[in-house]
Amino acid sequence: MLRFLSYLCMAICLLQCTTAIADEISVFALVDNSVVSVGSRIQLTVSIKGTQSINAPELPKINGFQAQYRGPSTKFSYVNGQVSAFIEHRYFLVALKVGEYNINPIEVTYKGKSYFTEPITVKIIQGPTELKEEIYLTLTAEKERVYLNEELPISIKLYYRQLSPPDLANPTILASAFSVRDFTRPKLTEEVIDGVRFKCFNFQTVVYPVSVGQLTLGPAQLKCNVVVQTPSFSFDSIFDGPHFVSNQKRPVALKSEPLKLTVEALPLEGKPQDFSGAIGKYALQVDAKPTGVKVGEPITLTMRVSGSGNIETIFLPKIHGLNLFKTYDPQIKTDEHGKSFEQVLIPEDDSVKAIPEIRFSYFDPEDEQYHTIKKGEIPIHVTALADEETLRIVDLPGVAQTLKREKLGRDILYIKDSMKGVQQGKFYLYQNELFLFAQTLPLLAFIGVFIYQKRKDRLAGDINFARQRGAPRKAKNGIDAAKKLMRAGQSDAFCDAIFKTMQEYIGDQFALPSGGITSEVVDELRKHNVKEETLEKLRDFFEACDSVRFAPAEISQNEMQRLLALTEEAARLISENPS
Amino acid sequence: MGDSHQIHKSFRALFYIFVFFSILNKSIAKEAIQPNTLFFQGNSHYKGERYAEAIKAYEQLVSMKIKDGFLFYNLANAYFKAGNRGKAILNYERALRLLPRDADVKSNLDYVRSLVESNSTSRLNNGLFARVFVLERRLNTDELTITVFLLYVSLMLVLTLSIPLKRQRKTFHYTAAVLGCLLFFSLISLSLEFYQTQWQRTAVILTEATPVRFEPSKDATSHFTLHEGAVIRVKEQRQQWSIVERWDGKSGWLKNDTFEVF
Repeated sequence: MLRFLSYLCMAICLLQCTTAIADEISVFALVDNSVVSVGSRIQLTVSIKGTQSINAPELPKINGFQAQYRGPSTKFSYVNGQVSAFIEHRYFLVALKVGEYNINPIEVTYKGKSYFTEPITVKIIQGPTELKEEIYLTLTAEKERVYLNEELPISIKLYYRQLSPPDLANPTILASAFSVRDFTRPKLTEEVIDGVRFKCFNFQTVVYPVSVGQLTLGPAQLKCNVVVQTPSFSFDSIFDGPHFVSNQKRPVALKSEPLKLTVEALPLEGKPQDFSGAIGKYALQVDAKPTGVKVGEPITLTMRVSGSGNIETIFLPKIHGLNLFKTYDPQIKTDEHGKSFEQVLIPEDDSVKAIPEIRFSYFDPEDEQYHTIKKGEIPIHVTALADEETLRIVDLPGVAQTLKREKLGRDILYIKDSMKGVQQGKFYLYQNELFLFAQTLPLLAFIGVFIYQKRKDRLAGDINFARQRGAPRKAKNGIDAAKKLMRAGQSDAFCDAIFKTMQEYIGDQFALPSGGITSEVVDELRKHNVKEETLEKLRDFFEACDSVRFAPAEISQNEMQRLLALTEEAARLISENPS
Repeated sequence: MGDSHQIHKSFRALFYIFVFFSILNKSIAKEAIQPNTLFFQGNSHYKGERYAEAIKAYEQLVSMKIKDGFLFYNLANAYFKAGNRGKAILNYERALRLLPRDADVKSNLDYVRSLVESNSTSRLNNGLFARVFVLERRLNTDELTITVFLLYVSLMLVLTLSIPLKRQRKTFHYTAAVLGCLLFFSLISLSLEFYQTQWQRTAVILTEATPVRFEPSKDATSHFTLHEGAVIRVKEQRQQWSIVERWDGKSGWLKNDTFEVF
């Protein structure tokens, strides 16, 4: 049943349409290529809108081509409730001779009335058509004269035909004196240019000139890959049969012509004092919440500036006379259509009756005038605090200032009577050489104590080391004591003292038990790598000692002095040649 | 005869030495007195409401490379009274660097800032470091240097004592660890202070409303406007223009005669 109804509706529509098409028709002609090589062909289509019952029109003589009728094609279109009928009559035009030729207006007669198509120019070349005839890039702007910072919509169009859709990336544009926004997604459309149908990708964006004068925008550039169909074998010359083609992917770098633009500075005449650079056409919306507060409580004033233009140039609208409010830096939110400013205002006095007038000035490049939007005072109701309450003003998260209710006057505090301390030139402490030198003292003290302690610990833990370190002092004391005995003429005691001193000295230096040291120690010391000269001296010493110690009579002063000298010499040699 | 001549010569030499040292002493004394005299002259002009003369006297001291917190404070007061709020803020900032805890300087600076446009009140954001190492905002450079020095001496003393006093060595090491942490904290604060005073070029806007532009040209597009007293960071300075950055990180080109580094 439903199907029947739909067929019925369609039939009614078609009936209406056939009635409608009887009144008016329109005709136009187009070719699928405006450049063709000798021997190749193009298709000429005569399109008639408004009827389907019309025969193929007779073509005028077309120089340079041989025409061949291909047949009609009919279709309906249904747009916004309107049904239209079409008929297209197609012809092949085979290029015969190099040159530029016109396809003159084609006459279509309908109900005794003649209709004509527009003339079309076609070029016939010798070789194959170049790729640049098939695909190219254009750059266009809405106008050529703009103001500094004005929003200027531009369009970059990629035209192509008879090619597979190219692999696309966004185009780039050389615009050193412009600020360029991102491109929108390209739209694919069809356009007829000089009688040739093109497919077109349209990239749109806006630019903002950032300096004045005669500026160049562009060229726009785009790199893409196109698939080119090249005939590998054709039966055209034999009959209109199918084509054998191969696909070739070819990278192309396209470049448009640059645009010359005139950028003017904003006029000084009529410039409002509070103008901060906004260019475009804007509206201002203002809202304050809450409007009933106590002294010290915040009111959020929301100001939204929206419209068309350069949003970057929108700054906070001016509010004059906020001296009875504490204000904070506004929070700014930017979107596609404008900017919102949220300003916190805190009334500090209950005499405040309204938020003062808010003004926003902008320059409209369309009427070339400055405009100021004023939003009148916003009435608010501020109540005083109760006597026991104190005024609290929120300053930063977690921090609050508590003030007395008393209204205090404010001004700068008075000058100081004297300087703190006159310092001239190098005045930072770290620039003082003495101070820098002082930094080394604690480190030196630490190193000194460390070394001292290490030595002390070794002396306490290593007896041999302690004996060796103490040996020279002990030897000196022993020799001094022996000298006294020598002066006193006590030769026996002198000999014992000398012998004992040397025993202890050798014992301490070579870590040997002192009591057992006799002349035989010389052989023992050889194992300690003591020099032969030292050993010889020691041997002399022990022999001399033995001879005087065991002599029956007392020895003379000279003998004692010789022995003393021998002792000192042996001790010196040992100290110079320790083990 | 010969002896008396010798004595006469000696006296004459002594006289010349005396005169030389007297002159030297006088010139030294004069150098030492002059700054204070100038300062009192400035104060006297200020009290007599002759602010231009007061500024001249104080500026003379500044040109003598005298850096004193109270000098900058008085100079800022004089500029404020003369109606130059930008210079007033600049010199209060200079004073605050030398006297970071001085309530009078803070009070006057806050008051003058409250009289200028709102975006000038915002301070530069020095990042997380400045928030963590708070000593940098509480102490001036010399105070921080002394703090670091004392902590360093204490640490070295504790470490030195721990060498011979072996029984208390553990206690000393714990103390040294605490002192080491404090020293590290102070050193970072000092480094931050050093970076901000010696490396980072901070400046104050001196003119009422200055456009910051996209290019170093008076015809270039204005990016944003800075108002008198706004604190900025000078990133790169050229002959006539500089690249500056404001508190929220936005930057642009500004003419050199519209700001002064402090």
